[in-house]
Amino acid sequence: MTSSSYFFRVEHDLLRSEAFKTLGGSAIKVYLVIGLYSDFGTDWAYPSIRTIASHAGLSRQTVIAAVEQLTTLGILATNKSKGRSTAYRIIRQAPCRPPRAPSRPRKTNQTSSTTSLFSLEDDPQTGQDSLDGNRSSGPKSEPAQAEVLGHGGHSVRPKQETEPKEDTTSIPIPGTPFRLTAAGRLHVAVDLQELLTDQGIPDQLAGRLLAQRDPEAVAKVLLNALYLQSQGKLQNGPGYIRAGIEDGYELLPQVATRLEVRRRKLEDRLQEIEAKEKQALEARQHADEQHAVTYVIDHLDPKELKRLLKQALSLLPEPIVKRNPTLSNPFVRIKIYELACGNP
Amino acid sequence: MPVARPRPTQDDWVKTVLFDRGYLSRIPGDAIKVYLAIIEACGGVPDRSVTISLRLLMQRTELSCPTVIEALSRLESLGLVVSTTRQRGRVKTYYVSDPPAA
Repeated sequence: MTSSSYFFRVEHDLLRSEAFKTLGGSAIKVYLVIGLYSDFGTDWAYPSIRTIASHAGLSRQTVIAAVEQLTTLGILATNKSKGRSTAYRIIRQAPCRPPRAPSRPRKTNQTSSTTSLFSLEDDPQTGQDSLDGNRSSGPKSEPAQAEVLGHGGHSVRPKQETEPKEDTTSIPIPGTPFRLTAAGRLHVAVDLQELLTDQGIPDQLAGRLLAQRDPEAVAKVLLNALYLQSQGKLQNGPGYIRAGIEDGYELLPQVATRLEVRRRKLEDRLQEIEAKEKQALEARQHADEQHAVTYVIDHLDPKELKRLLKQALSLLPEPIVKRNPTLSNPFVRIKIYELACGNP
Repeated sequence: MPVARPRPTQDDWVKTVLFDRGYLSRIPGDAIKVYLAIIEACGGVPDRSVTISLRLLMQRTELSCPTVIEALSRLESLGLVVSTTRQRGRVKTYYVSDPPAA
């Protein structure tokens, strides 16, 4: 069963999408019920047609038609397999946000969309690299459908940099605005006050709390809160965050363990990068030396080259045979002569 | 460690009303769209009034005027919204109530 925050995310996505206008009431009800049954980790839901019908107050035939409509519109992916219940997955679309009136107060429910994304295990490939590999968490991932839908508003976005600068020393924590360094430190590159306000803490209190603790301590509490919210175990988020910052809560063991796993992977990756860089440097130095030698030889006068060659030959050590300790040993040498010539 | 007193959050509330209290199955047809639009307008918080025009509701839901009016009357009869002021022009204030269990 899904957590409540997850459900609200579903509803929120729906309200802000263009599909909300085009869908009929039955389809919206079916969408909401499937959202209710979606698994937080995998996004897949397995309610039967009968269950959907009873929750939505619709007939089975209407539910089937609504599912078909949602699938046709690309909002829902279905996976039918023989002998098993049909799996449904709501395909997320970038919300088509209506222009917000400046006078409207900030909605506290915006936190839900942030919190529900928090998953230390599932990496929705938000960062520069996904350490956990592909996210194929359902019976069948359907990237093609999601691809077709695309993300709204691409064309109006500002131009992206062609070569984004990668921060290899830290790794993003998926679903959160924080980054983790190889040393296990939390990097905070966002406005914490805004983040606290989004979590339902009044502006003034947020400012006071931030003045009490360093950003890393605040980030720890926020990570705990986001984790608990994602698990549906936190009812009073603002209260927890306030108490956590005031009393200096440490990371929860579950959160700390997950972060440690990520940190180790980052450490391994950094070591790999370092080794590769070292190898590349050595190879480059060797190539430079070779190039320099070739350049000198090419640009030397032939006479000078001959003279240097002679000089180099004269500097060469004597033939190795003379220095062979075995043959330089008189007793061994006598023995060898005896064997070869018969005379000492 | 201080123990935080649990209190229901707004997202709990929306879920509770629609599913746990069984209102989703009782909201007829397109009225769910109108209800969601009103909930969005009031920030998903119960016990809050929102003044919203019929035109805006029609715009948000892409429903016709009679359908929206019919949906609103159905929602009012279910006790999900309560009309709190007299209609002035076509702008009306609705109070999003916290309905009892069905």
